[in-house]
Amino acid sequence: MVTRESPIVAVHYQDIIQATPPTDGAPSEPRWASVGAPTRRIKERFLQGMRARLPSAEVRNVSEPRFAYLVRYLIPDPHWLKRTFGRGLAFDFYSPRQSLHVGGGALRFPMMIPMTIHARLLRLDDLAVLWADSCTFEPGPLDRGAMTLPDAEHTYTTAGLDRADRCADTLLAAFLGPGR
Amino acid sequence: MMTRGVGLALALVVLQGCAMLELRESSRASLNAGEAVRMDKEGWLALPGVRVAVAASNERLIAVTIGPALLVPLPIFPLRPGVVEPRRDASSMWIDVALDPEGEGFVFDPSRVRLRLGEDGDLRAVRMIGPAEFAHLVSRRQSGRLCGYDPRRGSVVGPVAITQLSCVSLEFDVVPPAADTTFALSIEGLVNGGVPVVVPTLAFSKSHRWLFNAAP
Repeated sequence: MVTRESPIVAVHYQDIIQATPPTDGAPSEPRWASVGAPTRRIKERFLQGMRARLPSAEVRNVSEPRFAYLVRYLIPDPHWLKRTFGRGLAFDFYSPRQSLHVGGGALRFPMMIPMTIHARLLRLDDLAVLWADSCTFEPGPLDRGAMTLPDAEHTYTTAGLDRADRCADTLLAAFLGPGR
Repeated sequence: MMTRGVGLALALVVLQGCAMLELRESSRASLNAGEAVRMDKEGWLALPGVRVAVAASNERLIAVTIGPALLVPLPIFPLRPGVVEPRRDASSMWIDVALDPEGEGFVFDPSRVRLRLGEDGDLRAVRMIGPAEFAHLVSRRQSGRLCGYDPRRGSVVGPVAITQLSCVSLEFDVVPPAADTTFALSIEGLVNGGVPVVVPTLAFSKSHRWLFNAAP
């Protein structure tokens, strides 16, 4: 289906957030951060694998993360993708975030809860879900001091990123089906 | 027996918490009479291809009552507002501008927003943060602000592409005016595919809102 229809976009949702509102005083140290799986990395690995196996599929990789405005079942509302991209197909990659205490710029607790990433292929005309799957991996402890960087990937250790990559490979295999 | 009853009532109050009713005043944006554009109940202006909403951060708690929340919440005992919300004298005013574009063609230059406030004349923002996530409904109701925040995004220094529902916070170097002071905001610098989008001047005037909260 991805070789027949166009245009196709691939988006990922923001995977790290600190919530400190701006004030008239000096910027304050964030007290907590909300971190998910490295959605940009997983999306790009998925697309890289898809290009290798389906060279005729042209997918535009949207670099700017999307804000996840959730609806029932706590998944991003696809209405917002339709509003931006209009028509065609859209892959989206979303990870529920976990709130973590941050002390003195370093995480107090290693992340122990498995991370889940949800991937979908949506038809924007009618917001039909053409394919959806998810995978889960152990993130392991996070790198210290990376909470001010632009995406969650920088907070993961190399071993954690390897597990995230395998998660992306699992999604791609599920999308392509047996024999690909 | 009566002592036991009073004790049980007190225990229930402690267990179930209290209810709090707040009266807050702030400045709310509206359109001048005769504008062709409409503003909906949520404060969104519907313009060609984009919706725009603004909120000023000069909200002040002016009255509060508290009481037990047993079967029926009874916030009937008045409190001094300062007990609930210590007064902080802000030296600058923030205004949130939320944008909900259709398509990928919109660019917004926050440096072209002007605040018109009495003798201070036209003011430009001294700091701009965003684009950030549009705050969720509960947060908007509680804080009166539109933007969810992420300081990693830092300050905006020029035009930014707006390709999704987003929010920009603008800081103006002026003491937040009292709610009964009128002021105006003009938003220029919003462009769609190179074509300027005309946003009517927004006039701010005094507004009240009631907020009902559980007070643990």
